Amino acid sequence: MVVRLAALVVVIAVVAVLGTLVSVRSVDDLTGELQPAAAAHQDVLVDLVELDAAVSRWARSGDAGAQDDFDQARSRLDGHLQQVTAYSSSAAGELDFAVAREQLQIEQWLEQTALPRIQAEGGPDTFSRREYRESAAAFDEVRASHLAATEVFDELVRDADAETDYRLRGTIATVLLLAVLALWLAGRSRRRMLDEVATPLADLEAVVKKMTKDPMLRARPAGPREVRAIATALNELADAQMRAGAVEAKIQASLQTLDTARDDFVSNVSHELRTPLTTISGYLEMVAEEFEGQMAPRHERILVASRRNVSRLKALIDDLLTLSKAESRHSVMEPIDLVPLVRETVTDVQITAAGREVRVTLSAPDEVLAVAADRPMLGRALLNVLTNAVKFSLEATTVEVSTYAAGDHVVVHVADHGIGIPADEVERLGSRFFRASNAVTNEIAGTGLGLRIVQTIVDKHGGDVRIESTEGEGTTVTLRLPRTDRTPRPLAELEAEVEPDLEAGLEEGPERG
Amino acid sequence: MARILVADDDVDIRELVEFKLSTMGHDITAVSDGGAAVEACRASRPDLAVLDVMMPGVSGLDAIREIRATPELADLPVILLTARAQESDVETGFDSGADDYITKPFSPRELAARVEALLSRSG
Repeated sequence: MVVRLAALVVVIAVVAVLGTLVSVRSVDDLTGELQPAAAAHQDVLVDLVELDAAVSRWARSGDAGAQDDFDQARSRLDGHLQQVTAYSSSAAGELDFAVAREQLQIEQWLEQTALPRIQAEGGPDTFSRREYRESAAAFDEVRASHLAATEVFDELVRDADAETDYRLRGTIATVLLLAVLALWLAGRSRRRMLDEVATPLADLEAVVKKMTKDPMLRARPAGPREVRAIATALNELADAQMRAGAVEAKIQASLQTLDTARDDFVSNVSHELRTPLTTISGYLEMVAEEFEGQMAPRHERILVASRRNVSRLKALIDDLLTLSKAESRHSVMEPIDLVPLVRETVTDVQITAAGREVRVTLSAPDEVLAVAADRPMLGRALLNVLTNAVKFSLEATTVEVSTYAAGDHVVVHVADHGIGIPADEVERLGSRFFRASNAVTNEIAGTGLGLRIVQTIVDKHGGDVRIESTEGEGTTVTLRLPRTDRTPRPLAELEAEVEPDLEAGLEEGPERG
Repeated sequence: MARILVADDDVDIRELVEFKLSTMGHDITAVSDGGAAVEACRASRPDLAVLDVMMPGVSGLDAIREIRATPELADLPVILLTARAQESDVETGFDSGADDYITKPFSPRELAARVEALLSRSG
C-alpha cells in the first residue's frame, strides 16, 4: 500500500521534471535556432533593400560611394543568406522550399538586374525610365518571394510557441492528474488500513475477552502481518497460561494427596499410641481402685506419678492430633456468630475454674458478631485460651472475658490475674513445646502445644493473637478475627448437622431424653 | 449377671476389658476380629457386645451392620471402642447402629458405667 503510494509520488516527480525539460527544450529550439534564423531572414530583406537603394543611387547619380555600399550590402546579404539556409536546409520541407525559391529569385535579380546595372556606366545621363520600371518590377518579385518565406517562418515561430505552450499545459495537467490519483489512492489505502487492521483487532479483542472464560479458546490469525503477529503471540501466551494452570493443578493435587497422607498418618499413629496407653492407664486405674486405702504411702506415690504421666502422654497425643488437624489445609469456613461460641466455651471452663475458686465473667454485646470460621476448630482455640487463663490464675481471682466488634474485626479479650509470663519469654510463646519457666517451676501441667494450636487456628481464620503479660500480675490474650458480611446460620441448624440422630430422637418423643 | 461379647484385635485391650467386666461378675466371651464376633453373636445371642472399630478383616462398623441385619440381633446393645475422637467418626459409629461409643484411651471405670447403663436400659 505504502509502496504503491511512494511509487506514484516518484512517477509524479519524474513526469513533472520530464515535462518541464521538454518544454524548456522546445523553447530552446525556438530561441536557439529558429528565432535567429527568422531574424537573419529579416536582415536579408534589409540587405536587399540596401542593395536596391545602392543600385538606384548609382544609376541616378553615378556616385562611386553607391558602388561601395552595394559591395558591403552584398557581403552582408551573403552572410545572412548563409545563416538562413543553414537552418532551412535542416528544417521542414515547406521552409526549405520557400527559402530556396527566395534565394533563386535573389540570385536571378542579382544576375539579371542589380549586377548589370551597377557595373554599367552610372550618372543622370544614363538614367532610363524604362530600365527603372523593369528594375522595380524585378525587385518586387524578390520582395514577394521573401514575404512568402517570412510567412513560413512566422508560421513556424507560431507553431513552436504553441507547442511550448501545449507541452507546458500538458505537464501541468499530468502532474495535477497524478496528484489527484495519489490523493485518491491515499484515501483508499487509509480506508483499507482501517478495514484490514481495525476489524481483525476488534475480533482479537473479543477473543481475548472470551479467553478468560474459556482457556481452550485461541485467536485466529487473520488480517495484516502485524495483527497476525499479535494473534500468534496471544495464542502462545494462552498456551503458556494453560500449561502453568496444569502444573498448578498438579501441584495442588499432590499437596492434597500429601495432606491426606499426613492426616492418615497422624490418625494411625494416634491410634497406635492410644491402644497401649489405654491398657496402661486402665490397669493402673484398676490397681488404684482395688488397693485403695491398702497401699503403703511409697507405693501410692509411685502409682500416682505413673497415672499423672499417663495423663500427660494422653494430653500430648491429643494436642498433637489437634495441631496436625489445624495445620492441614482443608477446613470448611462458614459464617458463624462468635458470641454463642464464646459463651459456650466460658461455660465449659467454669466447672474447672470453680474447683480453684476462680470466677470467669463474660461481657458480650447483644448484636451478632459474624466471622467466617471452622466452628469446632475455633472453639478449640477459645477453649485453649480460656483453659490457660484458668490454669495460670491465682486462687480466688477472676478471669475477665469480653468480646466486641472493633472496626472490621471482632475481638475476644481474655484477662487473668495469674502468675504471668517472664518478659523475656513472651516472644518465644507459641513455639512448639515451649513452656514458660514459671509454669514449669510451679508444676502446672501442660504440653507446650496449647498456644501453638491457638495461633495456628487463628492464623487460618485470617486473624492474629496478641499476648501481653506482667510476671506475677497476670496475662491478657487478645484474639482478632476479620468480620464477615455474610449472615450466620442459626445455631440450631449447626447442632442438627453434628448430631442428626440425637435431634431426630428428640423429635420422635421425649422418652429417650 | 450378663453375657457380654468382647471383640478387639489387641490382646492387651481385650484382656483389660475382659478382666474389668468379669470382676464385675459378667460372663465374657472374647474374640479377636469382627467376623468371629458376628459368628459368636449368631451362635449364642449375648446380652451386650463391645466392639473395637479398627480390626483387620471385618471392622467393628462392618460387624455392627451385619449384626443389625440379623433379625434376632437387631436390638442387641453394642458399644464401640474408637481411637479417634473426631466428630465424623462418632457420627459414622451412630449411623452404623452403635448404641454408645468410648474413645481410647478410656478408663475401665467409664466402660463399666456405660455397660451397666446399657444393660439396665435394655434389661
